[in-house]
Amino acid sequence: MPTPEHAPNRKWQVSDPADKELLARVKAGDVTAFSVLVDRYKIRLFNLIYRMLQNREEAEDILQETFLRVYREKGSYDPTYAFSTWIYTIALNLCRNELKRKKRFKFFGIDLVKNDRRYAVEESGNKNCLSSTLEKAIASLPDKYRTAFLLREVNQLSYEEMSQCMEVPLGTVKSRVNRARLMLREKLKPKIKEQYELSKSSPIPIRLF
Amino acid sequence: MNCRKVRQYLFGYFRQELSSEERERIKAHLDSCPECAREAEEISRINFLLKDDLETFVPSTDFNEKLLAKIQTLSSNEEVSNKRNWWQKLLHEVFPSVKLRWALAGAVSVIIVAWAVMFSQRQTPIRQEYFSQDERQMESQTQVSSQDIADSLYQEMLKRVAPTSPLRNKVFIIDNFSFSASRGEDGRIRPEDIYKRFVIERRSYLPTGRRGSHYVLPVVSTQPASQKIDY
Repeated sequence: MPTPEHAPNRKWQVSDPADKELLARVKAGDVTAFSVLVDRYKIRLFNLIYRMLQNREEAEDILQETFLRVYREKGSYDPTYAFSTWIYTIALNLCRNELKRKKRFKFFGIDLVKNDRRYAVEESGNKNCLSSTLEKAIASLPDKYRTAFLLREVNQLSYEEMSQCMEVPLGTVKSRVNRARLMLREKLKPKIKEQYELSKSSPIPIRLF
Repeated sequence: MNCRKVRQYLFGYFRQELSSEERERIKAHLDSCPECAREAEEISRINFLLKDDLETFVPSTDFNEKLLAKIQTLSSNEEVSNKRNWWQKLLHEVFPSVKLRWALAGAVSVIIVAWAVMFSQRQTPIRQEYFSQDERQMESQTQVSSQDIADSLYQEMLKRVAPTSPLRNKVFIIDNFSFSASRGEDGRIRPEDIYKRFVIERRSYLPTGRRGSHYVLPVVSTQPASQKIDY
């Protein structure tokens, strides 16, 4: 298996040896080191959690809980694994529990997610509409496929890292990512075509995507 | 490589996830198959879309402050927990949530109350337990004590149990029974009737192993003793 090469415009560095040093300083009682860790991870985790839960407040709560756990359990971190893997595992478990809890409420007829699916429209109101279509398409993926997809395509983890933090075998991770991509492709098909036709008929070149 | 297989790998193709050999094979197929080439183009569009068009959301600006404040309270809680002595620590370890601790306290108090009730029942003298206020009064008028009843029962037993029966040598402990007695015309319990209509039965709501209560069982009854005593 070739090592996956990440996209050139990689937004966030995935794992950094300095993380472990920072955590060691946090263990020694250094609060600034903890803020540095928080700053380093909060955005990528927030984007993951937000897209998983599709509710801003809940996502912030879960993000906070993730860091609190990191702080509380700092002694139990196993340094043979990357810090990023550890923190992703925590965040994913919290997400999973939260989604389960929501489903349970839904089962009892209390729909907590009813009004939450609007986030893409709200937040990217000034963006072109395909962007929100893309968010919607991602949001409509089943949970486990969405997790795999987001970790791979947005957070740009390697398959090995994903397998560790999702706690599933490598082959399963790969097939989930692939399935998710194909599902997404099906969902986006009509939209892509529409835009494509539009760009062909219009004399002014428009930015496609 | 057939079209189906190629289409499965197209995303990986654009994401540089394939070996050079696989890439070559897919490229060769795309050159020869216009259908797959069109598919590939669409996927490359989605790929661009994913790279460039996904917005990066940021948590609210006071996220760090809130988090650090929470951690402050957390550490002060830790200090509190360091002040706890060993059993408090154990309690907080086993029952981390406040709700659970309250539930535990509730359960313990229920158990204590239930036990106390049972214990007090056990201590209750037989008269108070089985006689209503009214009957107790009447009984005191007839001057029958439980000692009298016990004596009468013993006499009755001697009458009913054959002289050779080993029952005669037993010690009878008379407690833990209920009985009914007939009343005279005037509504009073007559001392001469009081034991004749006793039905003694074992009450087993208390913890088993009450000493001796089962000895009493067959001795005095409205039914002939021979049917009840099984020797």
